[in-house]
Amino acid sequence: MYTELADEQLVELAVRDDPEAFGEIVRRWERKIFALCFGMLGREDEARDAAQEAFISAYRNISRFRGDAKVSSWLHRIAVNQCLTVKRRQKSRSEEYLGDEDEAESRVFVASPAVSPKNIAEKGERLKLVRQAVGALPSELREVIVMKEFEEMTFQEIADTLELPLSTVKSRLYTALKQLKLRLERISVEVV
Amino acid sequence: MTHNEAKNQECGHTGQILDFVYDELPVSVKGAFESHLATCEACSGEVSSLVSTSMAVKEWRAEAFEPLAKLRFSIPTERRPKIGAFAIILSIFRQPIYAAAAATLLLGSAIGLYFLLGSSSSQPQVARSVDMPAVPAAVTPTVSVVEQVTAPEAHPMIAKDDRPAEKTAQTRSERPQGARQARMVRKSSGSGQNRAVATNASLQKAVPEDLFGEVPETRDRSLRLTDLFTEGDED
Repeated sequence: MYTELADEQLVELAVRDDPEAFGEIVRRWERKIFALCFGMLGREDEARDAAQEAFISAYRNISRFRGDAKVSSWLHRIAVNQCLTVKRRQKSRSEEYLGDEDEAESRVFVASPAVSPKNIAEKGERLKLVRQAVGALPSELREVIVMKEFEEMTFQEIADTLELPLSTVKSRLYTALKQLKLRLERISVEVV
Repeated sequence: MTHNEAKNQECGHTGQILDFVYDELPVSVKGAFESHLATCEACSGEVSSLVSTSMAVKEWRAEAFEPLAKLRFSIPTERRPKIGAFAIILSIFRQPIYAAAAATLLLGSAIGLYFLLGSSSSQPQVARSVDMPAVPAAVTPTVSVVEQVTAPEAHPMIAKDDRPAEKTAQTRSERPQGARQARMVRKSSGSGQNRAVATNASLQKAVPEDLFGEVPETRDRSLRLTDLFTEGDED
């Protein structure tokens, strides 16, 4: 029954105290929201927690949802804010979220037996560099590149979600890719 | 600004590069842009640079994120408790300022009611309060004083009522009857002046009973003290 309803209808039902309707919203958007959190935070456990918190926050404040924005935009905004809150907490604790590299690598990479140890090492090193470079981007650039690359949102969807002009979104993405390339080159030179 | 970016700005296709990289260029424009790429080294270099960076991020996503993406979030979806009107009112009065305002209002209205009701029934209250036996009748020798105040000669308005002749022997327990009679006199009197006299008479009859009742005893004591002093002086 719920699968046929639009997001806005599900929100209306959830506001009228129907938890199953909100469950359907979670099922629809959990993967994208998790992708966004993963791209923003770079770590699985933090991304999982942030996504969970974002959904809980959305459920608690569902009565405040105004119909002038799309449900997906509303959820994305909550998730982005949640990720920024996590980052702020990390900063205040003076912890480097890119630390604990060995643990992260063992958790993230699933090696195929067909791949040679040399290739695994090279690939692992490359992905680590990308993760570091994305993590070092300013948050306004990072959220745009994560929405584009992880969630595969269109420019217009990003603009709607972040409530920014289309040109600003494109400009930010362009800058993000440029900075990322520079950082990747710099880091790879430092590593070599 | 790199050499490629400068050249892109010159050729005027900068705005289309990003759309092309992410496959968001309209089909009508896409063909023209692809043919431009074949001739423009700056644009093709820029596209290549952006695509390689984008591919790096996509690879990271595929390797790091995809294996983790099979997740299910469990949101606590228990029904929220319904808030009743009483609970809302209570929550308002939990704030000190509202609680103080409510308490002041209640107190004010209580005081107002007290004075309102008190003023309308002040006369009977006085009579009733006086009727209460504060001091045992046997101890206080008030009888003769009351008799003097309420004597028929002093107040002719109530002289001819049906008070019994043996009023001098009246005890405090019988006084309510006297108060009732005073009220009856008040009701029966026609003019305002008469009513005032009757009110005064009833008050004089009712109120001073206790006040005058103390007088003889005090006089007796003072006399006794004087006697003692005089005795001392004599000594």
